[in-house]
Amino acid sequence: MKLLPTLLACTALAAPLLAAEKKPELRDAEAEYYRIVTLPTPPSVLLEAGALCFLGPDRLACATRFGDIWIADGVLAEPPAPKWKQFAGGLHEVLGLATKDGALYATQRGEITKITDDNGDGRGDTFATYGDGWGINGDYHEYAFGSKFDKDGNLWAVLCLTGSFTSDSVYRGWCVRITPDGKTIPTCSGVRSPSGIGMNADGAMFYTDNQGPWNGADALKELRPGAFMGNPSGFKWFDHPATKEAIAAAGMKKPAEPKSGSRMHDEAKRIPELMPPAIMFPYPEMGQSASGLVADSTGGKFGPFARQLFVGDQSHSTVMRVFLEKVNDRYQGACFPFREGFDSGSLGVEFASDGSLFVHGTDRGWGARGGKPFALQRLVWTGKTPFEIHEMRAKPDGFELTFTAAVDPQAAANPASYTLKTYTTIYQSSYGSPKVDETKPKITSVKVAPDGRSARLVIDALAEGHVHELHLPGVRSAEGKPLLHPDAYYTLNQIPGI
Amino acid sequence: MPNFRILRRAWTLLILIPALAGAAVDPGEILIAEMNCTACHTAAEPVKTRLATRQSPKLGADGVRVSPQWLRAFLENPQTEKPGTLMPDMLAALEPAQRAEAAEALTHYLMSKQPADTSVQAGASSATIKAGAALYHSVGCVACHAPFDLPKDAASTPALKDELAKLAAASVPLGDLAKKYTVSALAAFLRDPLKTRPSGRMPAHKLNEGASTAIAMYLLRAQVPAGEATKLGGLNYDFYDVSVPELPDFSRIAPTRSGTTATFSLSVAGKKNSYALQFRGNVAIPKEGEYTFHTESDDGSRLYIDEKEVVQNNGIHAAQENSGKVKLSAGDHTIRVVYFDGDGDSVLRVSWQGPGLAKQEIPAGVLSHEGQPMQPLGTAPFTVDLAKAARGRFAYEELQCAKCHGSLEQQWDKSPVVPQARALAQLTAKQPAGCLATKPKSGVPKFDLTDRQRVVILAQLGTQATLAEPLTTEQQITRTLTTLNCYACHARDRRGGVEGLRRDYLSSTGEVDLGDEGRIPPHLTGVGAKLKTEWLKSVLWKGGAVRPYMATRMPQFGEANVRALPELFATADLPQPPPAEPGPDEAAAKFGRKLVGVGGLTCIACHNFAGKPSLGIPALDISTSGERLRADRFRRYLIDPQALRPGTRMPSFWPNGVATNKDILAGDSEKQIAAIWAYLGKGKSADLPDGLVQGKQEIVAETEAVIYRHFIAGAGSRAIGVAYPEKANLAFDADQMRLALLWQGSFIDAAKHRTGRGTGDEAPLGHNVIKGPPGAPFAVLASETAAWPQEMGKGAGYKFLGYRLDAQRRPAFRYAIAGVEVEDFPSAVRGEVDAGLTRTITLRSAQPPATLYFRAARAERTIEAKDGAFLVDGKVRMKFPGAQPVVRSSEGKSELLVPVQFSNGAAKIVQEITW
Repeated sequence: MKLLPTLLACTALAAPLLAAEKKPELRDAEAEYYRIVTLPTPPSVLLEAGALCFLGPDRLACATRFGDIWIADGVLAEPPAPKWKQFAGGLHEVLGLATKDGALYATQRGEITKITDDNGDGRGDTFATYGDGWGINGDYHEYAFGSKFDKDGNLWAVLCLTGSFTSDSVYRGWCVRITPDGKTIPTCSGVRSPSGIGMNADGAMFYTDNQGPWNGADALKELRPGAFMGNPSGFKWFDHPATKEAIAAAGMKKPAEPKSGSRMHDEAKRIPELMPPAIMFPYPEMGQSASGLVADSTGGKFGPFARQLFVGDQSHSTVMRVFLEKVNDRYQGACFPFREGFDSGSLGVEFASDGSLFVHGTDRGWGARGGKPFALQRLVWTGKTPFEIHEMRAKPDGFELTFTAAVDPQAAANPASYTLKTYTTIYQSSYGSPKVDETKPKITSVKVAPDGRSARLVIDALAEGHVHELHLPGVRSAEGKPLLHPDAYYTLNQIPGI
Repeated sequence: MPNFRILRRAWTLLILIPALAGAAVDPGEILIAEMNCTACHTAAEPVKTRLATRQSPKLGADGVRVSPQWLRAFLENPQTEKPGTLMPDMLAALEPAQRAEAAEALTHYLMSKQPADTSVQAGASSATIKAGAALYHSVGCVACHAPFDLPKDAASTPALKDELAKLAAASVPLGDLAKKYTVSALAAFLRDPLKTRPSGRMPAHKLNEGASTAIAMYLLRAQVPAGEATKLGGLNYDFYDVSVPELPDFSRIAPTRSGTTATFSLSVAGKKNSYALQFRGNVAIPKEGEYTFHTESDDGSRLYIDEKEVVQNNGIHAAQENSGKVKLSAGDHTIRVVYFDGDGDSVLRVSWQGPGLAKQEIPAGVLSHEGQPMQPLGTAPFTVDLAKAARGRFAYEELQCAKCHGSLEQQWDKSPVVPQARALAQLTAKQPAGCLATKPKSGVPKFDLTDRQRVVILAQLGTQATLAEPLTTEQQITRTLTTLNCYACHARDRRGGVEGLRRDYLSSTGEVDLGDEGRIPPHLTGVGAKLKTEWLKSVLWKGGAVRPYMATRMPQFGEANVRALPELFATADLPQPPPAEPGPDEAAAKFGRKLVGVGGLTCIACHNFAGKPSLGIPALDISTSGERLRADRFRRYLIDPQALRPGTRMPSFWPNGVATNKDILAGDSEKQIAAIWAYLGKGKSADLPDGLVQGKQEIVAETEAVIYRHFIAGAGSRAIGVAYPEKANLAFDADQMRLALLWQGSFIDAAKHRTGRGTGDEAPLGHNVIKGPPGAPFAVLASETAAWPQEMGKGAGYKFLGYRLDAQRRPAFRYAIAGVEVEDFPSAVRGEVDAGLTRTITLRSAQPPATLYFRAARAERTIEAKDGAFLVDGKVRMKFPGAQPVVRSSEGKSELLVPVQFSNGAAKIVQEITW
């Protein structure tokens, strides 16, 4: 008989949980480096933003879950005083917004719509169906999240399954892309319940998928054309008369069925199309509902994290930070806590021309820590650089960390300043997964670079396919400060060769 | 060897699990108790108390109801007939002929004591069997018994089938049920197994009449005969799990399940509110004449005799009686009663009066239906032979059956001399003898034991002194959870829990999106510190339950079998002294209400409250917290849900003890949690939290047209609703490119779509809703008599292009078909009472098709009026200025077609609609 691993933690029932002394508020410490500015929204309007898109340096389009599109001028002013005007209404839960040649492209549940203002009165007049090559059957779960234009002029949409377990409409559980001539191309299978889509700094398309069947943890995954993202519920469309020709024409073949109860990295060796998550967001340490993502393209206006990704978490009302590297042609990397304390459930993130990060939130249908039904906020770098892990790279025998400031070499060179454990999740058809196969590798040595800006950790046994959870409680900056977030979670699908 | 599977399972649990100190119970002791050894081998009171011996099934008037052929076969060879039974073979030492004779005599005796089966004979129904299969595999039967089917949605692979076979071998065998039971006897047993088998090893699963009959019919499906239907007592019923404001069209909806019932009984629904029922069968009219039928119902009902409506009692209302008269000849006539309930009370009484018949409820005796009768396999006419019964009665006493099953007589005529077994204390751990011998002597029970089981029993007999000492608290818990097999579903400490393939049978009811928490029973580690003792009692034997989304039901094991558990759990799990339970605190509760609602922590985003649905998923109703939970555990759970319930989706709003909400009670974590506790402690009587009940969100077109793209009932998932300020409204179906609905007055209430996750279709809010013709609006027909094509939307080559808004924000819908670009521009026109609608449809094509038609209506009848208008089904008037529409009859309907006349690559149709 198997022991239930999840129950091991339950025995110490009577232990007090509230420490007598409370930690100082993390959000107050974070605010010293990144401050939150709340924008006024149109009076008496529930502005549950589903997607944002900048139309000019200081002009923002904001589409809502109710289906309206509002445009504001003056969103970057301080104190903020945006002037709002309704551009369109009555659309079907817009969760993607892009712009090209003066037109807005809104991803609704059932289609992507090109909206143009023909008479220049500030309101959309022509609503032309741009791409509607997927199905929709009336289930609330069938969301569609739309991207910005990629470098070839395509718009991508990730299409949520019909429920948690089924694909009852065409391409549900798939990613499709709409070409500039309006063709819908099936692109990836295996999607479950996406909550955001966007490109990294290289222009590769990524999306977040939420914990559930065949998804042991919330994850960030690369949408490489032809890839299978892990959940086979939508495999039926490979053989369906309505779709099989289009799928074959896109060069896609039905992957082998994954085996429930296995591990993702094992199955990925057997199923070449299977794309393991670039990042697993440990549940619930990092969050419980990973959402929108955006690459820092500000060239330093947002602080020291140029080219890194910022990812929302709806449930925790946070924004997380992600560093990616490519190992053996696969993206992988680390996620770090970045900023908490947003007013509602962070659903999307978007950079403005001044390098501030817009975060929009809603908690309708899914509760969030923030507590407000909706919020539109800006995260502004104060100009002060926090002491943070900058990058975390995998090495054949460990990790290399870089820091945003020089470290105290003595503390950083001491393996006792770090704690490390690894685990993975079960790749299974039932909902979610506990953390399993835990290991505690030993940090055998740490070498600090002469400039104090990096540390090389040698580890006795890296665990392939595992999240490596690293804490750095003993690391101090040269000035003696602890790290603002002494935590990193590296998803090690590939161990780099020597 | 299939013998003693149950015991071996229990025993495996005890031997192989790394036991927590002091929690293990000796497997020999469990065997002695389960085999009821002390029925014959007398034991002292403390030993009996400690053993808490399993009770045997009851026989006689209140006992089990089985078929004589099964009983005979079982008595002759218990293990063959019911593998794994704990009943010893009492006739083992007899010669085959004597053995058969003794079994025959006992069968006649026991059948003479078993009351005759007077229930309605069941007619086989494939729908009922299908429903039974689903229930059997979901309500909890397969936690102990073998599943017959693979888990829902599982792909049938050889490996999985192999796993299923292994699972069957490790399950409690059912034996040959089809020979043993009638449908009604098995259904009655499933509803209340404790009545005849008081040991609780087979618990009750809270099954109502319909569900128990469905499972019984499924388990007895081998009884379904191939032959013709015959007349059987009672009625067929169909149950519909729907929420409707009036009687639905029963021909268009599929029943959730069907079955048979003695009479018009709402108990077959198995739920209190929101359903519809249809009863079907025959009523025997005693005498020719005029009969009055009545239905008294809450809510609506209708009664049909010979498929003619006799009583009309539709609509939502309190109990009200309506009547109707009909002249009938003597003999059978069909009767059909349909009923629905929305909310509140539910009542249905069906009465009649007629020649020589005072008004009364229709008695069950005159009701019948046609069906294929199901009866136990091998049924032959059986009458009790009094001589055989007398011999059986003697055998019952001689074999000392009463030691386990009790006496079936007031007093015995003459007592046979029976051997007395030695007292338990006198039994020693020597070589197996007596009933432990491999071949017991005549009159000695033969148990089907493995050598290993003999060894552990003997070992226990060798250390009997311990049996006089009471079990420790943890041991008592382990013993109860083992013998009742609670471990099949629940883990406690490191024991038990649902494993392997069995896990895949646990499901949620419907699509509730609650993950494993919606389907896997909760663990019991520390349950005594979690739940109040009173609530544990309620769950264990009073049917208390708070997880309606879980398909598997917490079974009821009978108070006598689990009475000690609540106190045992409390003793084992509560710290000493137990944490204090705070009393009511009205001032704090006010803040609690703020925190629970929208604007606070919005607990109701996921949690139901006081029976009202949450804004999102239907997570557990938290207004039950005060009744169920201990305050300290509640506090610890809120701070760190993962620690107490690993894997839960419940987020912490006080991570590391720090409140995320700073506004209420100045962000003081302890005060906030105490406030929520005080509020939830008020239970269902609490004032509802803010934001739980949402009002109407009507969308109104004030000065210009308003668009609403969403799920609109009758217009598909890609519906585009349009409201015009003139108070005409329409819904365009952008999947099929058709004008799907027109209506007047109010447009639509968006509350459903703007509350929570926004599930489901919304219907028009206004009045005079009319439907446009189904399918494709345009088609190229080979001739004017050719049938309209079935294909529509993308399947027919249509492509939706979107819409353009004019200065008054009115859309012109655009789509393409067969090289033609179509623009359909409806505009509202004020009328005397209600507004009408004029559609201007413009078509453009470089190569116009020669015979393109527009289908304006498909109806029962279309009449051309003197002014050139067409009256469709007597309700909708249409005019087509400048066109020559044709009315034709096609496939039993009347169609109104407008030929499209292109000129210079363009054509125009104007359709004026008033209704």
